[in-house]
Amino acid sequence: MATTTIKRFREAVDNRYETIKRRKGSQRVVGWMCSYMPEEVIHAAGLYPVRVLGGESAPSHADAYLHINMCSLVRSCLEEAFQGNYQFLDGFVTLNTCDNIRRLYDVWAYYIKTPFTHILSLPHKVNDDAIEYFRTELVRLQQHIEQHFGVAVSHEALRKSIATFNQTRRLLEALDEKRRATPPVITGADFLTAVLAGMVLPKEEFNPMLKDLLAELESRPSPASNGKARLLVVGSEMDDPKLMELIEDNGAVIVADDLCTSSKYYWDQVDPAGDPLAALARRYLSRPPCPRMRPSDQRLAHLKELVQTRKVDGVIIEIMKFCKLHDEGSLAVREALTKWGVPHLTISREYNLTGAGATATRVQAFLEQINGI
Amino acid sequence: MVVQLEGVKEIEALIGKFTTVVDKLKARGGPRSDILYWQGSINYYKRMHEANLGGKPIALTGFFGPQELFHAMDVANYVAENHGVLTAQGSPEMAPFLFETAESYGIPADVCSPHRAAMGISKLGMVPRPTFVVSTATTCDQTIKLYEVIAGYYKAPSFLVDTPYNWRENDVEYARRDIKSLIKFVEDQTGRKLDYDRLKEVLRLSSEAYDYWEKGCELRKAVPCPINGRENLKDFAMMLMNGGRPEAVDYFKARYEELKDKVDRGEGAIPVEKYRVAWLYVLPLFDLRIADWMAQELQALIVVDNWSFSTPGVTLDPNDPVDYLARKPLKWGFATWSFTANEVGGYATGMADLCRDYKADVAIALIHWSCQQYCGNMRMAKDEIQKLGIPFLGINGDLLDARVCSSDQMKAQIAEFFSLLEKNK
Repeated sequence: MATTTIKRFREAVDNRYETIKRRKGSQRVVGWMCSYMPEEVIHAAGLYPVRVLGGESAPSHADAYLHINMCSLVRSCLEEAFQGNYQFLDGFVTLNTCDNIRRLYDVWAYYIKTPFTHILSLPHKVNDDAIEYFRTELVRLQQHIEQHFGVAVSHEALRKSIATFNQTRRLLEALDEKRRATPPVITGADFLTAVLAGMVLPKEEFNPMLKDLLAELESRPSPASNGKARLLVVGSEMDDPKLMELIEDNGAVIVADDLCTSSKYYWDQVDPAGDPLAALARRYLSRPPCPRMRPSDQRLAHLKELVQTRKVDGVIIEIMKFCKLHDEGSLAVREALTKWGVPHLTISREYNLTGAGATATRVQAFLEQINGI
Repeated sequence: MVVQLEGVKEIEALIGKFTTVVDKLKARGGPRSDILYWQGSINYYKRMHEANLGGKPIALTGFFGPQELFHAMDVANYVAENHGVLTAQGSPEMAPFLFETAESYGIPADVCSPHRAAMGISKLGMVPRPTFVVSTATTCDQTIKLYEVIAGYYKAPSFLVDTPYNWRENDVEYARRDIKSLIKFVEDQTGRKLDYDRLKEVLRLSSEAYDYWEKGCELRKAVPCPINGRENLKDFAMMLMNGGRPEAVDYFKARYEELKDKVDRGEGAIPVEKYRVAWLYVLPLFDLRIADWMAQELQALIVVDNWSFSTPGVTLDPNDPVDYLARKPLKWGFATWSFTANEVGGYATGMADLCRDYKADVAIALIHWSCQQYCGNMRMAKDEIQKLGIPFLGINGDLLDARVCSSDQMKAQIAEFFSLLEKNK
C-alpha cells in the first residue's frame, strides 16, 4: 500500500505542470531531457530545473512535425509543448544523446521557440579525453546560461548545488536499498514514482520528503516473505509506473532497474572536491551507461553486478518502439544474460502503455517459466 | 586447422564483373570518368581481396571514416554499408535475403536497410573477415550500434571515432585527440608505424580530389545542368573507396573536365530541362533508374542531392594531418547537414540554400523509413524550402528495401506530383 509520501509524490508527478507553476514563484524554469544532463549547472544559476516529460494525449499534432518513425517519447513531449503545457518554460536544454532527442531539440527550438535553448555534445566514450571534453561543454553551457539569464554561476554556487544533489542521490540510494530486502519494502512502481517526483519538485523540497518516506518505510512492519520472482527491469526511458505495476500485479517484485528515469538518475556521487565542472563531467559521463556509449562492457558489467547483488531471478528488457539504441543494444544484453543463465523477456512498448492485456499475458508466461510451472 | 577464408569467390566475381564493365566502356570510347570510376572500384576490391588471400590486415570501416589513414598505412579497408548496398543491388531477391539474415541474427527489422545488408553479408561470409573495425559517430545511432554488433560478431577489436556534434574549438580539440588514439589503435592492430610524411602526401591527394569534386559540384549549378543526378552517386562512392589515392584525383579531375566542357558548350544532360530537381537525401538505391525515368518522361533532371555533395568552403590542411582527419567529416555534405548541430550546419536552411543555389524548381525527398536523424529534419526542411516558393514532395519509402515502396509506387507519386505542377502553371 502506498505511503503518505508516495501519494504526495504521485500527485506531484501526475499534476506536474501545476506542481511546477505553484512552486516557481519568480524563479525561471528550465526544462531538461536526458539523465546525462548535469542539472546542477542549471540549479547553480538560481534556475529551477524540471524534467520534460510526455503526456497521455495522442501526438497527432507532433506527428506532423516529427516523423512517426521517431520514438513515441519525443513525439509525446513535443505534443505537450504544442498543447501549450510547457509555455511556462524559460529554457529547454538537452544533449545529443540520441537521434530522437537531437531532432526533438531541433524541432522544439524551431517551432516552440522557448527563449533559451542549448544542446550539449555528449561524448560516446568514457576516458580522460572525453571527460575533459565534456567539461568544456559544461563550461559552454554555464557561459550561455550566464549570458542569457544575466546571472553568475560561481564555483561556490556549483559546489552548493552539487551538495544538494548529492544528498538527493544518497537518499535515493537509501531508498533503493529497500528494494534489496526479501521481499522488498517498496514496490518498483512506487520507487519509480519517487524518483520521477525528484525530477519535477525542487530538490530543497524533495530531499526532506525523501527522508519522510524513508522514515515511513522504517516504521512499517517487514512484509512477509512471498516467494515472488525478483526481477530486474532494464531498457528505454520509462516515466509511467504502469508497466511496473503490471509486472508486479502479475506476481513479481522489482528489486532493481537500469533505467535512465530511475537508477541512472542517482547512481554515483559527484566528487565535491576540486573543479566542480570537471567533477560533474566525470560523474555524469562515468555513471552506468546508456547503450549509446561505446564499448558496451561497462553496461554489461553493471547489469551483471545488479543481477548478482540483488539476487535477480529474471530480467525484463523493455524497449520503446523506434528506440534504436536500446533495441540494437539489447542484442548484447540478451547474449550476456543467456550466458549467465538468467531468464529474460523482451517487451516492445510505446511511451504510453498500450496493449496491456497482451503484455500481461507475456509477463505471466515469463513468470511461470521462472517459477518452473 | 585450416581456416576457410571468407568472401573470396564473391569478391573475385565482383572484380570480374567490373572488369567487363571497364572493357565495354573502353570499347565504346568512354566517358573517361566512368572508366576511371570502375577501374578505381576494381582497385579497391583488389586491395581487399589480396589482403585477404595474403593474410594481411583488413579494416572494416564505416562511411565517414578516415580512409586516408588506412591508405597511408597500406591497410586494405572496405566500407561495410557500401558493400552491403552493392551486394543487395546485385539481384531483386538478394536484398530481402540479406535483411532476413541480419534479422535472424537479432538485428531489428526496422533498422536501416543498408545496415541490415551490411550485417547480412558479414553473417553469410560474403566478405573477408576484418582484422579490426573502425567506425564513426557520424551520422546516427544505428551507425554506432551496427559496427559494434559487427565487431562483436567477428570478435574483432573495434574503435569508434567519436565525431563531435558541434565544431567549435573545444570540439575539434577532442576530435584531434581521438584521431591520435585511433592512430595508436591502428598501429597496435597492424604492428605498423604510421609514416606522417606518407600520410601528408595521401592527404594532399585527398585534398586535391575534394577540390575537383567541389568544382564539379559548382558546375551542376549551370543551366542547363550538365549531368544527371544519378551519376553523382559515383562521386560519393569514389571518395569512399579511393579518397587519398591517385585514382580519386584522376576520376574527379576527369569528371570536372567533362562537366566543364559541357557547360562551356551549353550542353545539358537532357535535351529539354523542364524541371530542375533538388533530391534531398539519396535516390532509391534499389532502382536508380527512377532518375532516368524522371529525365525521360517528365523532363525533370536531378541537379543536386545532399548525399553526393562535398561541403563547399571547408578547407583542410594536409600539412596538419591530425587536424585534417579530425575535421574531415565536415567535408561530407550529408554528414555536415544531417549530423552536425543546426547551429553550425543547419539541415533545414542548408537544404533551402541548396535548392536556391542550384536553381531547383522542385524539391523531392525520399523519406527513408528507418532514418530517424534525417526524417526528424523533414518538416523543417519542407517549411524552409516552401518559403522560397519551391514545391516539395516527400515520398515515404526505403533506400534499399523495395517492399516498403516499390519503384512503380514511387513513380506514381512523382508523376502525380508533376501533373499537379503542370495543372497549376
